[in-house]
Amino acid sequence: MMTVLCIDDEADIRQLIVEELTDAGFKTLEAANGQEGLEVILSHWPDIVICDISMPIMDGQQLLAEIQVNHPELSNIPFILLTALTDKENVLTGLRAGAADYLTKPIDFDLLLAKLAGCVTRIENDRAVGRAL
Amino acid sequence: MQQDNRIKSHVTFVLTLLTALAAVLIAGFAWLASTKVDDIAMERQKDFVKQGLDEQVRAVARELESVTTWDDAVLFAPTGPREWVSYNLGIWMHQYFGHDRTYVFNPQDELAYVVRDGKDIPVPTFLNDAESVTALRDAIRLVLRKRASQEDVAQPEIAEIFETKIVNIDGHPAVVSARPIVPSSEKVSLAPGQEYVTVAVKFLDSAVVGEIGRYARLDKLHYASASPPSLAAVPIVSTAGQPLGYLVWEPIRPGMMLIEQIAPAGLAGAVVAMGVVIFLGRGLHKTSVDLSESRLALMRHRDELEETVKLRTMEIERQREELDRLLAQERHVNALQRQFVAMASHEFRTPLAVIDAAAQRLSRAKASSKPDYVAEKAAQIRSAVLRMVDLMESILSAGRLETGKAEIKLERFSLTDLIESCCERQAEIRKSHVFHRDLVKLPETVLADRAAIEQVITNLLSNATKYAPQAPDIHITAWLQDRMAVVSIADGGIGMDAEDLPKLFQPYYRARSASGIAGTGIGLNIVKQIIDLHGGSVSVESSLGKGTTFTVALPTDGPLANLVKQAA
Repeated sequence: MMTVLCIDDEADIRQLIVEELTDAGFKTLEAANGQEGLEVILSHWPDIVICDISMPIMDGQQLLAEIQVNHPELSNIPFILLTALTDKENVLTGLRAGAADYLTKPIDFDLLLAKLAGCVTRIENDRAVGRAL
Repeated sequence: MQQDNRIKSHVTFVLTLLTALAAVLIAGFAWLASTKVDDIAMERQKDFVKQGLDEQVRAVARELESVTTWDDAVLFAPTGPREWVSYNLGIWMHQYFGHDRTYVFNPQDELAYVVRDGKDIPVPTFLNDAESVTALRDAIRLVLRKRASQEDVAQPEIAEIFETKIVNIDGHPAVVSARPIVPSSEKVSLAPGQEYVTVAVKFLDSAVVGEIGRYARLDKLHYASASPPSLAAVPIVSTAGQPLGYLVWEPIRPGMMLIEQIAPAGLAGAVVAMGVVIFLGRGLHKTSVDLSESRLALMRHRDELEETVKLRTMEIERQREELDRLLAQERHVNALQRQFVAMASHEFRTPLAVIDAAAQRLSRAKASSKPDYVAEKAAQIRSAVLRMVDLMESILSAGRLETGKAEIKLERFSLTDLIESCCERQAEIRKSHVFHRDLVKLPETVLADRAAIEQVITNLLSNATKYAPQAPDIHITAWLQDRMAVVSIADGGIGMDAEDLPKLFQPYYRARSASGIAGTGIGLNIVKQIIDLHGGSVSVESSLGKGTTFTVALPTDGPLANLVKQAA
């Protein structure tokens, strides 16, 4: 069973995503901002991270940069960025910083689940290759 | 004015000096020339006087010759008659030639005849002139003896023998001349040694001096024993070299006379020249002053021009700076507005996302059949809708306030109730936070625009929760102070830097510590404008990382009450 960490400062959105993921058969973790998210990642090693960009204390881009610089061993965890920001610049910055994919708010849960499924497939393939080697 | 005086005195001084110098030079040359002329004239005068004197001296011997070279005299001298001899040899000479004394010596050198002052002296004697007369007689005798004894040698004609001397006779200069009495023809013969000798004495008296004066064309010529320094003088020296007095006269000075004649004209010329110089000086002075004034005026004009250019430049610079400032402000406002649009879309998208997600959940979730679950989702949707309504209200208010169309509708209402309801609504939206209220000191009612004040309280509470994500306690304290209802809303959130505080109420401005927290930047501006419209005040205290406290003071009896009170 894949573990998904959901990071968003909006409790309602977090809760709704978690409900959907739980129904879809994922194990879920929650964090209210980048700082909390990093702690959870370090303590629980989630398989996938869904992360809002605009958050207090530490935003999504800062979290990605922090992982790339100080925790490279975690950089293969796929990040799906979640943003209400419409400007392309934020998305591009996130993708360049190592995010796997992005979604805009309001969230289409079907699209979210499809992207998660893609991530799961890749992870499983990688692990299969890893075992084979 | 001081400069003018300096110019004036300078010009006049130089011109006067030059003119005076020229006058002195001219006068000097004139003086020199006249002195030279006078010197030459003086020499000529002296020469004429000397020649006159010489002529008078030589004249005595010549006059004497007219009676000594005479046959009759040779014949009558030894024999007489006495009257004839004394008349012809003495008295006649006195009358015609002015001879003062005549002494006639016989061959034995005895005095034969004496005529003194035209009178025959019967007993011939010397007076005071014996020495001079006998010396001259002896000199003649010596020549005669020499002639007689040396016949073989060429001798002068006997008629050519004479002797003349200038001598001093009792302090009076006199010409003494001696001649032998000799025949004038062959009819009478005279043996050597038998000659009578005549000696004539002629004093250089006023008559003689007058003759000299006529000769030299000097009217005032006269004799003086000493030479007065102011007069011209020619010395009379005896043949023996003894000084005998002077012939003196008022010197004729043609140069000085000329000077005296032209002096008044020269003086007048000098005066005229000085006048012209002063006139020119004044003209120059006036021109100088005019020039100086023109120069000053030009300098003043130039200074004024420079000043004007400087002022204009400063004005242009100031305008440019003003334009730059306005442009920068405009750019800043534009940037803030762009940021506002982005933030507003984010602000709208977040509750939209909640609504959308909740709706999706309701339509697909297995648990959707449960009534509690439906209620929960409905509550989430309503909360999100409330947020959107607040947001919309804010933006609309901002628009109204910005265009100046905002009006406040005063009504009496309970501020306590309003704060309570706002807290409850915020508690719905932000379940994470707790609102601690202490509102007992508030008055029963206040006179204000209820909807506007509700927006103020909502904005402040919303900010308190939004910027204190990890500090759940919000303290709302209210009290009455000086007819103002004061409401303080304090959070323990992220706080702000002191530099952000002065700009905090500007539209679209957001504190730097707010990055990452969604917001439009219009909320506090709306708060400020609404409170201003009510005649109240809003203040903020904040400490970075420790929290922020907003304090609103609202007049309890409407905006006019305080104005009236202030006027009173």
